[in-house]
Amino acid sequence: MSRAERAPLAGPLDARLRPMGLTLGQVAFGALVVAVSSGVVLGLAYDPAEPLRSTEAISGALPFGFLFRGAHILSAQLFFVSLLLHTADHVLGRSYRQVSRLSWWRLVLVGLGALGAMFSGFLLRGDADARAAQAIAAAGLKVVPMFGADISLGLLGEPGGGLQAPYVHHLVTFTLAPWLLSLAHARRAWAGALVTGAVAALTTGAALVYHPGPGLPSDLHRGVLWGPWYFMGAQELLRHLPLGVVVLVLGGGAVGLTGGLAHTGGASAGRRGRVEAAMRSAWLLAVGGYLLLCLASYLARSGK
Amino acid sequence: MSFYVVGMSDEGTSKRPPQEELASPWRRETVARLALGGGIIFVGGWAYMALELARSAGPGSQAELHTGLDPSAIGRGVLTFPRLLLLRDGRGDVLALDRRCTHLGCLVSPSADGRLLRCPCHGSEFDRSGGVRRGPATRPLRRLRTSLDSRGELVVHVKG
Repeated sequence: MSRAERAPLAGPLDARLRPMGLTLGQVAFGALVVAVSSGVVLGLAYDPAEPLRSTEAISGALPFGFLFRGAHILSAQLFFVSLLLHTADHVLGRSYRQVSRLSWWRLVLVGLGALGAMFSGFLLRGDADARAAQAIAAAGLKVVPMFGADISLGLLGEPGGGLQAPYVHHLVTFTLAPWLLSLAHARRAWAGALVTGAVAALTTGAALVYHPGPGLPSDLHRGVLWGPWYFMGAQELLRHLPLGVVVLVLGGGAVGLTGGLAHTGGASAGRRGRVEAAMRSAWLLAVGGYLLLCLASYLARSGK
Repeated sequence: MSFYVVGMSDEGTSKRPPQEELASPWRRETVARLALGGGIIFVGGWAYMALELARSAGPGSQAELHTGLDPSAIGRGVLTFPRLLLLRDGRGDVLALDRRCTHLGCLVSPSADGRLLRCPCHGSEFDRSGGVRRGPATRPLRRLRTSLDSRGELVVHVKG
């Protein structure tokens, strides 16, 4: 059977959504389209040399700026969450057995790109939280042997300096590359008018109520810095473990476990079958555990 | 005006060798290797030039900060600058400290009473002389050299 004839792969979550004419991948794609469209508008008003001032102006002074920023942030969050669920769904449904190793690794790259897009977008706030996240991420990348400092400079720029590097990567590298890689995966350029329109209406409507503020400059901040929600588990680990260990466990673990699933041979029985079952369980436990750690860290820091 | 070549039709009856013969496996492999090598050199060159450009476009490596302050104006509080803190230590000497936490580089800020310097990221604490009071940081804050300019105002040597 050729690839084109093969039925679309579906995990247990997608199987429940499909009767409604939806898949998690479509939701993710629709959210990406909305995030990119609103991002293009925001990019016109954003100056990476004056990030905090730009964010203040977009959030408060420029007409409809708050709406575009809110829709951008919310659609990006929806994109990230639905992509995570989409991945978990396919790990649960063992879809990695039905695609080539190369395709699976390409999807791992899409996931990394999505994380890069989310994180670089957070840095563009330019407030105390973003500056701290930039410094921590730069320190984390510098742990990488040989090229760590160069990778850090190339991706994040100089901590404390302008945000040109994260700005460019947010706009181009981490948006265009996952999109292009997704084209081969989804075999379509976008999620369709209905899903995209629904996501656009949902996120723009929510942005009418949700107005994220610009944050505080680094030198005024006296509280506890949070970072993005998906960074809080790492923040908690960094309080207790050396940086190198955290980078190896989180970075290497996430990429190795996810990508490694494609190398388990897809056998249900025998040694390979046991390896696959162990890796699949480890993936689900690691992701679930990390998300719980993020939640626990949030509750601990907010004193709830 | 049309030209016709006698003996040649649209099908190309002339003895043109098939594509496979032209591109023998050895030749194709060589071309592929050359293309890969060229691609790697090209991407590597781009990456090198991009990093050089990023380095030179980074924030200016300011060596000195002229604070415009008379040292006697520094009292018991902590003066907070974007990248450094000015304060008096336990002996009353003026001290300039790099604000970057020695754990992961977040900027420390003085506590409300000014007795401690706290990192808001992972909770490290430093005393007024920059010494570690609480981890995860293990090294003291970097002390910056200070001097007076011709007007008797404090200069902090950021790089030194």
